[in-house]
Amino acid sequence: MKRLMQILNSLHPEVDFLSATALVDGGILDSFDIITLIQEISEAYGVDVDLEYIEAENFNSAGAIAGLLQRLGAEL
Amino acid sequence: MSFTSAKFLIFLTAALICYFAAPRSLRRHVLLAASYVFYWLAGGLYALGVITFTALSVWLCGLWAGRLRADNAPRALRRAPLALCLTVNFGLLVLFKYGGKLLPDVGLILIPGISFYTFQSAGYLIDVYKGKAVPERDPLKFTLFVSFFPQLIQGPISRHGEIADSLLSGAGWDFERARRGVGRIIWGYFMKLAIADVAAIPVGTVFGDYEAYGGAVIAAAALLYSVQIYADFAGGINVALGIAELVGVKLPENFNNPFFARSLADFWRRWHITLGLWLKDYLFYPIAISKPMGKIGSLARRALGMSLGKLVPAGIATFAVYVVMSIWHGASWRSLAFGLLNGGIITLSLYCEPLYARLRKRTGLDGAKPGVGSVFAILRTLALLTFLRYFARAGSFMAAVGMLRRTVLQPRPGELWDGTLMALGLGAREYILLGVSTALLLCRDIVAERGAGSGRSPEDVLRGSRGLAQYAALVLVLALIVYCGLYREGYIASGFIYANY
Repeated sequence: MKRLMQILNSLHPEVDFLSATALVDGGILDSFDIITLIQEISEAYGVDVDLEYIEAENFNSAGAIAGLLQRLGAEL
Repeated sequence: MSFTSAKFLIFLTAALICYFAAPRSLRRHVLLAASYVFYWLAGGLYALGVITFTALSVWLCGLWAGRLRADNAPRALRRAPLALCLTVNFGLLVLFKYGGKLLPDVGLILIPGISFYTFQSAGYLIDVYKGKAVPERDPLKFTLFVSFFPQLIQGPISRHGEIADSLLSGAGWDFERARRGVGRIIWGYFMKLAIADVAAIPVGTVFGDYEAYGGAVIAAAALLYSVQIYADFAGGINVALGIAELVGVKLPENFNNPFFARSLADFWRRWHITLGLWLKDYLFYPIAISKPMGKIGSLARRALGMSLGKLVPAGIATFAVYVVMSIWHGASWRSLAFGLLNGGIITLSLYCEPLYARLRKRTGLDGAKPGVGSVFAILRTLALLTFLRYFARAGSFMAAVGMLRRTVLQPRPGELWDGTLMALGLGAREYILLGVSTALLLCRDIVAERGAGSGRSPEDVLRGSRGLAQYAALVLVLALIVYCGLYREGYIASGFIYANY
């Protein structure tokens, strides 16, 4: 989880990722951010984020992203 | 068949009467029949055949893809229906849209709205593949989704999950809904007749013979063209959404006050929204997270360092999106230039983002917050857009370059007040009416932009105000429609610009 928070904070240091719950729906993360995020978490956790997982509900909060990673078999 | 033609209005009235008169269970059949009648009137039997082929092929492949997914088939096999169906239908799209250029001797006819319904169907199929949409078992229901007539000619491009329920529910008459729908339809006609069709005249005169004018007039025409195309396209969308609302279907919004965009990227999130979303979900993401792009990304990060390298896949995917977007608008060098310029500027600004962040800190100007920073950002984006519009409207790539050159090297600003503007096809009275109409549009959009966070639309504001204001607005709008639609001298009922995409 720490690595994930590091990645998120490096993308947008001004956002409080611990409490934010509308990262995608609220426009905090745009499509470029999502792409960078996916690249970084793929590398950091050794998982493959397939197209079908790119949905707002999987990226709307740090918790949601963590949940996605666990579903993909990552060790958080 | 233009929305502003008498033929369409007669068709619409008949269709609505049949719809509301029918029992609930039959209403979706009325919609399907009406859509087919509409399309037959708009494109002929041949076009009907083509759209039916697309609808049925996608329906079948949707069932196939759904079955493969349910059986947990290996990924390569699950992609088969996708590959087959998309290749064939996009092949058809390319054939009918650009075949005229590649095969000029074959008499290929125009299939109205082919880009829209093809993209819409493809989106459904990809959603089924992703497991995001449940395959539709009923071919008639699916064909209605593909051919629903309000969105057939110029969108919006809907997602199956978004509209299937309301489309098939057979919603009956509801006074509130009818009021909203009719209001929206009237507003759409207003935009098209009182603004777009009027502005089209001086724009056409200048762009058609740009060498006769100095740069200032050319720039003014480019600016006016932005107004024209917005009023034309968004006006048509308003009519479409209004009609859909009457029958209880909520189509997605396609415009969000585009001229208040703070950046070019922001503009493309406010203009032709459904196309942008489609390209993002079905082109941008698939490319950006694909295996080949992953490898390119790793290479780039090694070669250019972490911060620059990681932007390469996003940059390439962005470029691809804008190339497709430009081809969507036409198979010409001019269109390609338009797309590449947009893509280039947006990709470049991705790289410049750290620089922009520093500038924002230094100057205290932030486009994202209300205030001077916003105004600056909006005006800068408008200027950039006006420059890009040269490529959107000029007769050819070389013409666009020629017009730009004249703008910079031979401005001849005197032409703005020496009477040249009066010789472009519009008289003083028409300019004033155009000005009033555009001001009305601007007012409405300002109210909408201001209220964006609060969920109150301009229509809500108007309803909240005293009765007199509502009636005054309605009378003004109707008067302008009637005047511009019927009585203006030399009025040419132009088709909607986007109708043949």
